[in-house]
Amino acid sequence: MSKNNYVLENKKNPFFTILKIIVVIIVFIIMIGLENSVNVNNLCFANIIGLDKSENIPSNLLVTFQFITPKLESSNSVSTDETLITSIDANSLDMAAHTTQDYISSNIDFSNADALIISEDLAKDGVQRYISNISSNLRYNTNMYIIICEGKAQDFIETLDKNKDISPLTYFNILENSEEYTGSTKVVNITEFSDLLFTTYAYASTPICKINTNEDSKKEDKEDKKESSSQSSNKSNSESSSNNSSDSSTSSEKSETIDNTNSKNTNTINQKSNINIEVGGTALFKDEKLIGSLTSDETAFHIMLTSRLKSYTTTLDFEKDDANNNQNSSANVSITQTAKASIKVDTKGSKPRIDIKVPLNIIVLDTPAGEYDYLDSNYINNVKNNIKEILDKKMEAYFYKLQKEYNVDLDEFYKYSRKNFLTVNEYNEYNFKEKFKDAKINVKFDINFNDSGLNIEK
Amino acid sequence: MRKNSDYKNISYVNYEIISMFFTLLACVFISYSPIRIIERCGSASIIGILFISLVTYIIYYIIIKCIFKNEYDMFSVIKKTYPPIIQKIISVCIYLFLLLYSYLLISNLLYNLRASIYSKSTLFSISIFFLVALYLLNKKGFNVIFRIVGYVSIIIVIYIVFLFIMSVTKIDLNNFFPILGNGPKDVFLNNLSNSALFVPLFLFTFFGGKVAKGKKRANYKNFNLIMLIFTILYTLLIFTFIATVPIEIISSRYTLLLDLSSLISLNPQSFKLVPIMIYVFSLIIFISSSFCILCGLYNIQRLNVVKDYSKYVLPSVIIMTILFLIPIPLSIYNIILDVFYILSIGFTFGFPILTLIIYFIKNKGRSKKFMQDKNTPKFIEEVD
Repeated sequence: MSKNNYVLENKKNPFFTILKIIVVIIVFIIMIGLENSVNVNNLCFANIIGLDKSENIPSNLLVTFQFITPKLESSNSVSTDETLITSIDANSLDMAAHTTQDYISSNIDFSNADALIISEDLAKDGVQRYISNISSNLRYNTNMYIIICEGKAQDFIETLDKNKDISPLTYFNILENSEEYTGSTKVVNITEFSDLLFTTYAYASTPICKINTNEDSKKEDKEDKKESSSQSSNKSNSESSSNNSSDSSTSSEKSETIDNTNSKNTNTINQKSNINIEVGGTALFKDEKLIGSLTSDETAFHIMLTSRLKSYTTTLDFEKDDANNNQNSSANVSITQTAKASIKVDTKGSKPRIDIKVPLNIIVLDTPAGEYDYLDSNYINNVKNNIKEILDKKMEAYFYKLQKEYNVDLDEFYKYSRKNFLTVNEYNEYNFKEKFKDAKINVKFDINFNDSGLNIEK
Repeated sequence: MRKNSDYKNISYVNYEIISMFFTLLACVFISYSPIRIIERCGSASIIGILFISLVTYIIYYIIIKCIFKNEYDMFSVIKKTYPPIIQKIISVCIYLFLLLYSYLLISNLLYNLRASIYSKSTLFSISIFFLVALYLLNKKGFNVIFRIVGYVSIIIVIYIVFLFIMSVTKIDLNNFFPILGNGPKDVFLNNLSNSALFVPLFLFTFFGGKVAKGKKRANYKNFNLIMLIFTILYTLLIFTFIATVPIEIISSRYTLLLDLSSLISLNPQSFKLVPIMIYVFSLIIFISSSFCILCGLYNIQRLNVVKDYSKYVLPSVIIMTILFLIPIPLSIYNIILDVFYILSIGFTFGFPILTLIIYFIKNKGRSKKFMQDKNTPKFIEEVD
């Protein structure tokens, strides 16, 4: 039955038989050379790519690669400890990869690259042409992180490589944890970044990384000179951050626990371990160019408005404390966002009005008060009010920076404003992008104070 | 002896024919079609796709009812409508159109593959594997394709649902505003040109109501199910596109499903959807294109251009091979796509409607006679 189903009545034509044979032969010829065996010792994976401005030719790039070269060990296991750093002057990333291949003498694989680090100088001139190439090419890992480096990307990669306590394979995955547990960075992969870069109304942002050279020794010197300004020494490299500098150091240090612990123990003995790297803060882009940055503390507010801040521990400075009559006192608080911020944009008037409600859960970890004050309800209310006030002020400062200084709608309020329009034409006529800088923004914190242990009575 | 090419020997159950036509329609997922719809409608693409599905459903419901109530299939209608010479011209036109359609199906996938993975290969060198397999499958005839597709069609459903589930965390409902997108004129009127994606429904009229093992069901019931499943899945896919990728970016992309599959992954180190997408859609497009070529050949046999179509499988595949040997730059390829869209609307909607109108004018009152005469066995027709 099954055979009868497709039996042909006519006799076979010899022409077709010959054609069939020819086709089969062609297929076999094409299949020659399709074997694909890989020698482990010839493999070479690019782990980090750094882009700098070239020092010799202004239009060129200085491309730095960190390669991981797996080696087959005697026990048939593959070790990935060996890394290799090369820097090349070329006019594009592809050319650099091409040139590197010549003297590394093995095929470089970009499909597992972890991060792309772009230096500040280069980013100020525009990043679009580097990003569009990488994000649309499946040769590169489209999920790799993108980071802007204060200073040279080459130095950062070299410092990272020298630090033996950090595994180059996992370092950048820790960043995702730091977003979750410290709120000091908002990680972005290259696909998301290029999406934002090419969207008309959106603004792209990336985390910032930097090197803190001899941080501890500097600290000691400054402590001798000025006792009070110990907190600001951590931020020696950053340009901005007037009032929030003290908080950023605490939050960003958490993300680098691995290298910090070592450097603190052996700072006097080994000079190398003093070299410290740090990721924290947000770089802002407008029309594909870097225009400014947010501190780690402000990044937490950005995360609060766009996604959900899971855990954020900070020190809030009270301006004056009635209970103790101290001039400057502070409270350490742990802030958790219980739900996504509800945002409503009203576009009826000439100036848009944005109402934001952020539900927060705050645990006061400690206050400068003495032991007995914790039982005083007036004092506790005071602390709560102070915390509310400070958060309000910080949020105000955050929006002032975005609206007046940079005029950047970083928190994507334009998306919420689209609900008020029926068609794209109506929306374009309203021109929210232009009107954002005059928008009136009301932020209401819906704070629920949670007691930590016996600190605050119910 | 039972011939594979005899139309009376084509057998399928309801599940298989639904799978087949759903698979054929699902080929648009990987093509340029979603981008065209999103370009037209903007954030209102879901309304757009639902609207053109509804319009197509209404038009085709009428066409299918008119054809299958009165005749065995589309060819019987054509035979009773046009003189023999025009019949032959029509059949050759349909054959060439379907050849072009299957060429576009394969080349769409191959352009996707070449843009992403086989960047150093030529189009021909990737296509040769397709074409050889195409030839071998076409030699086996319709029945084998129907058996295979019954098993594989479910993969697309699983893939699209999987894509949707994995993207749930990245969904941003604000992307769907403004609710009317680029305006009512674009969403409802200009968007009708996108109904060309329903070309496979024209092939649905080729297959009469003959179903194996006595499991007979009216054809339009199968058609309802095909349209329902396809509309739901296409809407789901467009929903996933718009909810995860901003609209302004979508219109500048070429390989959208590839982009979406690479965007949606659990985390950088783990599972990636791109290879799975390539496997799934290679298989589906392979089956669909071979089915289209067979339909084209079947059509020239039924309209008496040739006696046995199975002899013409190899020449068809050779024509395809020659098409792939011609290097076509992307700009010209896009022009071919535009021409194809106009042609498809003509073949899918214009031609059956025109034929049916002439048919009813010519055979006025015939359908009544047909219904009344219950003793005559249904659908007996000599193939000369």
